[in-house]
Amino acid sequence: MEEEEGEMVIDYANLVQTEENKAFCSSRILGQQPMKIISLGYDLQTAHTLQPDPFVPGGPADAEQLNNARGLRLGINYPVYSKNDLLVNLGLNYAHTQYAFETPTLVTDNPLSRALDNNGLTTLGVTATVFKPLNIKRYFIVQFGANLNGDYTLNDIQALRYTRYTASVIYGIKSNDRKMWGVGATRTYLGGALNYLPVYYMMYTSENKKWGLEMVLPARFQYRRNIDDKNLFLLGWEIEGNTYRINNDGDPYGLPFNDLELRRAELRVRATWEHALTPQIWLSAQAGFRYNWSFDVDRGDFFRPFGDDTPYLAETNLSNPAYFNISINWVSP
Amino acid sequence: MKKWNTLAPLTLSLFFLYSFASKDLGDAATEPGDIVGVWMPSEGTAYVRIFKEKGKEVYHGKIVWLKEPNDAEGNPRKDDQGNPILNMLNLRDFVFEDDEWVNGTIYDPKTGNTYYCTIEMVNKNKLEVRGSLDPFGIVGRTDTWVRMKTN
Repeated sequence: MEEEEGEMVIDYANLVQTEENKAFCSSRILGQQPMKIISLGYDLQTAHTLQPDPFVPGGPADAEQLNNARGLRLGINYPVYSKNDLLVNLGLNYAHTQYAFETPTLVTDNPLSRALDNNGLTTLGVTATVFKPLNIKRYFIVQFGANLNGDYTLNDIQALRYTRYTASVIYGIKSNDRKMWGVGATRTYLGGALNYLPVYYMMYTSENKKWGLEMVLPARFQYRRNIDDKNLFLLGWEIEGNTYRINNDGDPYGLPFNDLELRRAELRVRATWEHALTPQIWLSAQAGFRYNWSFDVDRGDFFRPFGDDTPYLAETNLSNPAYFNISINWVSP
Repeated sequence: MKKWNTLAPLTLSLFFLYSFASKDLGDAATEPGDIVGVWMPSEGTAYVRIFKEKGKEVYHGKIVWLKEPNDAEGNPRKDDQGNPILNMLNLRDFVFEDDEWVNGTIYDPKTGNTYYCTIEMVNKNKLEVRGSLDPFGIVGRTDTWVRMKTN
């Protein structure tokens, strides 16, 4: 391409800056799976059984057969401010799980079974994530989340006073374009109930860019195989957890209290195939097993560290089915 | 009325002072050719020379210097498609409109991705280069580039 002024002869090695331009590390590494800006997915757990404890002495506790548990999942993670010295993402997430009982529940059945059969479980929340690089190697990640979790519907949304808050702080080092790691702490409902945990964060891509690791421990671990520009294969686990308010307004369950919290936590061991339909539209197909960690009911929301032996109001046995998840995603490559 | 008469000279003085100061402190209009030169992205590992295409009002940019021009084996660095990074045309087809260089693209040789791009001049020695997924610049990232000069 011919230049207006002709090719200039410049000794580039001896140039100097006219102004200071501090270098900052970026929030991503080479080879990492694309960031999902908008994700619309469907999650399906295959048939399994639910065996709840009675909520009051002598109360109903029949085992139930579930044909499936399924629902839509929507996630938005939008970069509202993105410069080399600061990155701010705001997010919205919605997840619904509808439990399909083989036999519809009756008013005489266990309250948890009835709540799941009626409206299922819904999560609606917002997140704010800040990536603040300090220089070319060091950075902070700060994340806040606020979620409404319960057996409500979008037509009759849960009161804001039941909002559950989460937060994480990570201090990290970006060693090079293929590795970044960090340590921090989180206020989380990952185990179902409120807990405070240490966090280890690492993103790594091998030198030949064929494989990598992506982890936020203890929540998530993934081995990544970069097959080509359009295909990634991931193998790993994720812990999903939250506390869900079971609404007893108007006393539909005939209980002398209205502060039921379902402590749901599960381990999902899975394989994922990510495929680029276009450079910005990716399909994600996931299959694995869902192992129940907690599906127990407490009275009230309180700090429950690992090993806490405060008895639950009612414990639940939930069998462990296969699950599938498919999503279509608008990504930032 | 008397009050207006008293304040008028002061107001006029402030107006002229402001007009003079803003002109002097860099409020001069941006010209299309102001972008021509050698620039360093914030990462500091490369220089990009922006030039005007002969006979057209179109601007492009070429990677003219790399901090590490060779890979570990001593061969010239290449992108994932095997193209040499040095002398690569990574900014293409910018036109000047409303004090910005628009309608161009930027190629990131590290990732092999091409983005929509808009360039804004903060001052004569500093650019804000925004690469985005969409042509409107809604989802993207802005990097600061500074002008390089001979020592």
